[in-house]
Amino acid sequence: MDINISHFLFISAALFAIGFYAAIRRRNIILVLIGIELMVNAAVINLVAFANVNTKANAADGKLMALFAIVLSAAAIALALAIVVKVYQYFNTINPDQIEEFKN
Amino acid sequence: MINLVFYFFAFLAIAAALYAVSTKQIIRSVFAMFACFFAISGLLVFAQSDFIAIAHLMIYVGGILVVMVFGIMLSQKASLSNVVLQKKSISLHQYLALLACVALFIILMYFFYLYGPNTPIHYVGSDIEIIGIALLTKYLLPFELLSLLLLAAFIFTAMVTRKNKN
Repeated sequence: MDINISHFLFISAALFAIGFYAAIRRRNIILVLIGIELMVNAAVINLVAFANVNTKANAADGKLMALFAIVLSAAAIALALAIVVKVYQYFNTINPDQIEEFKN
Repeated sequence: MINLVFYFFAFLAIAAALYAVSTKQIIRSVFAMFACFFAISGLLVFAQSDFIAIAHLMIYVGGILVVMVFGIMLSQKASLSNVVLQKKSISLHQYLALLACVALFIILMYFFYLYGPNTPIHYVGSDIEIIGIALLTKYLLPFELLSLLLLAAFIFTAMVTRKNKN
C-alpha cells in the first residue's frame, strides 16, 4: 500500500487531539505548552503533506509556511517559558488553577 | 519495506505523545516529547521535505526541549526525579476533556475523509533548491520580517527574565 496524504492527515488529527487534551486539561503550565507544541506540529505535518498535492507551480509554498510556523512557535515558546519563570518567582507555583490574581 | 519505517514513525509519534500527556511526572513527559519530535521529523522526510525535517529536528529537539528542561529546573521546588503533577483522582473535568478530545479527533477525521485529497506521494528529489529560491525571491519580505521578530522576541525574553535591581 502506497503512502498517500490521508496517512499524514490521520497522524496530524491524532496529534492535534492529544495536544488539545493536554492544553485544556493539564495542571501545569509547561504541560500546557507541550500540548500547544503538539498542535503546532500537527499543523506543520498538514502543511507539508498538502505541499505534495500540486508540485508544479507553487511547490515551496506549503513547505515555507511550515518553516515559518516552526520558527514562530520557537519564539513563542521562548517567551512563554520566560514568563513561566517570572510567574514562578512571583507566585511560587506554576499550577494555572492556583494563580488567581495578577494585580500587584 | 519502506512503508514499515513510515508506520513505525507514525506509531512512535502517537504513542510518545499519548505517554507525554498521560504520565504523572513532568520530566518523563518532556523526554517522551523527545521521541515524539524525532518521529515527527522522520515523518516529514516521508512527506518529501527533508530540509524541513532537518530544521524541525534542530529547532525542536535541539532547542525547544532543552529550553523546556531549563524551564522545569527553574520552576520546581523539588528535585527533578520526584516532581508529581497532580493527584490520582479522575474527576468529571477529566472525563469532559477526554470527551472533547475524542470528539475533536472524530470531527477532524470526518472532514479529512470527506474533503481530503488521496494523492499518493512520489519521490521528486530534494527540496532544498526550491526552498532556497523561494526564500530569496517570493518570500523575501516575510523572511526578513521573521528575523526581526525573532530578534525582538529574544530581546524581550532577556529583558523579562533579568533580575530587578531594587
